[in-house]
Amino acid sequence: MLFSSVTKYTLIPLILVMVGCASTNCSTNPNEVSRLCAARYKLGANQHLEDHLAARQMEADSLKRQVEDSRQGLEVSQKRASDAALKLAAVDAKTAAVREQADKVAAELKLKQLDIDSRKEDLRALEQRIDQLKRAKGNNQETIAQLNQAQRDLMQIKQEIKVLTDYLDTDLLIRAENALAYD
Amino acid sequence: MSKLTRNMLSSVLLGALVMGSSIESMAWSLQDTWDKTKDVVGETVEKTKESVGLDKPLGGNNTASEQKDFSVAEDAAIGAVACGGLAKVLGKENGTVAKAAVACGAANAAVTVLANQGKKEYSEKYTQINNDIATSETEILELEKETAMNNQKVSSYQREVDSLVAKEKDDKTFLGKAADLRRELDDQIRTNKMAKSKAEAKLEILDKQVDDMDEIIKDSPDIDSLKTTKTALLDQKKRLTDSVKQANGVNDTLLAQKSKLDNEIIKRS
Repeated sequence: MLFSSVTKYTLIPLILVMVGCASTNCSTNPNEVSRLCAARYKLGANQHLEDHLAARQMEADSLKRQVEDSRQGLEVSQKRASDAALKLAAVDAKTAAVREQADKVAAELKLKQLDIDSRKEDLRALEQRIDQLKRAKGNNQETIAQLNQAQRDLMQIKQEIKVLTDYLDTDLLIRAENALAYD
Repeated sequence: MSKLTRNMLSSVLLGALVMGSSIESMAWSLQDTWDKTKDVVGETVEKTKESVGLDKPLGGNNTASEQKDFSVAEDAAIGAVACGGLAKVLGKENGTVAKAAVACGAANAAVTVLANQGKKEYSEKYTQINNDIATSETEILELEKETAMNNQKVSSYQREVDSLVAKEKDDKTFLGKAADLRRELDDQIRTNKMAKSKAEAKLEILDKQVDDMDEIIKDSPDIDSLKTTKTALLDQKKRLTDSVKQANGVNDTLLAQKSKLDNEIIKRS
């Protein structure tokens, strides 16, 4: 009996109000919406946020792939520099001039290998930053600006790697081969 | 009563007395700070109203204007008291307290004016920009400090490289020391790049905020405090641009030192 009174006077009108509100089109002015309509707006905003987050994560993944490509390029260069340095160390020079030349090229190769390590460290730090940004929730402009900055930094590191590998390929490794040829 | 009990009892009584007087003096000093803040801020509310353009007669419906005027002035006062109070508590000079109060009061009032004009999106954007200005200020100060520190380190590294190249005659010792110095230079270059990177990311945000302010000002050219906010943003942008320029200079100098060291290493190998 009590339950039926509660149902009659409280629950049924409440359900009717809720159904009525849900079926009514929400006002386009966000200041003049019912609580239910406001919740629907919030859901829409959440969807918008989700879309932004998904786009940002895709952007971060793309940057990470580029970081990995750059790292692989560096590994190849480092292997070539390391092989050349090993061969130079084994030079059994017939003259002091040849030995001196081989030593200088070997020293420069060692410095360039250190530079390659340094660029690898840059890439590792950048990858860490990208991972953090990928995990960041929310759609604040700071995260977006930082991701854009990470992209600019990656371009800068790529440029530095290009200068380094170009110098290795077109100058230093050729000089190393020449020094070996005189042995 | 034993001696130990008497000692303990007197310690407890002394402790309670010290704690009581500390709380009392803290309460008096807080009350004093708050009273002083209110005095300083009280004078600034009128200035705030001028700053936001409320001293000018409002046209249109009288009742609506009165209501709007009252609400805006109240919001201005709330903002002024909050920011002035904060500046006072932080131990700033009276002039700075008043300045902070006027700026925050005007900003708060402008937010209300925009909201009353039905420009909800602009009102929200402006609130966000105003909230960000304080955070940006702290970050910019940190970056400026970091840049200044990096600048100092550059001079020190320059001296170290010059001294090592000129004074170290023994090649073996030179090569050992040069390897360490080169590593330090590399680390410093990386630290410097990170600072530059942070400044550039912040610049991007400021650029966008300036664009947003231009849009809001275009729509509500009569609100003076919007222009004040834009000027504050432009000032922060200028300081950050200077920091980036300095960081670029620092990097170039460090790279030149590294190159000098490399040439000497190759020569002596």
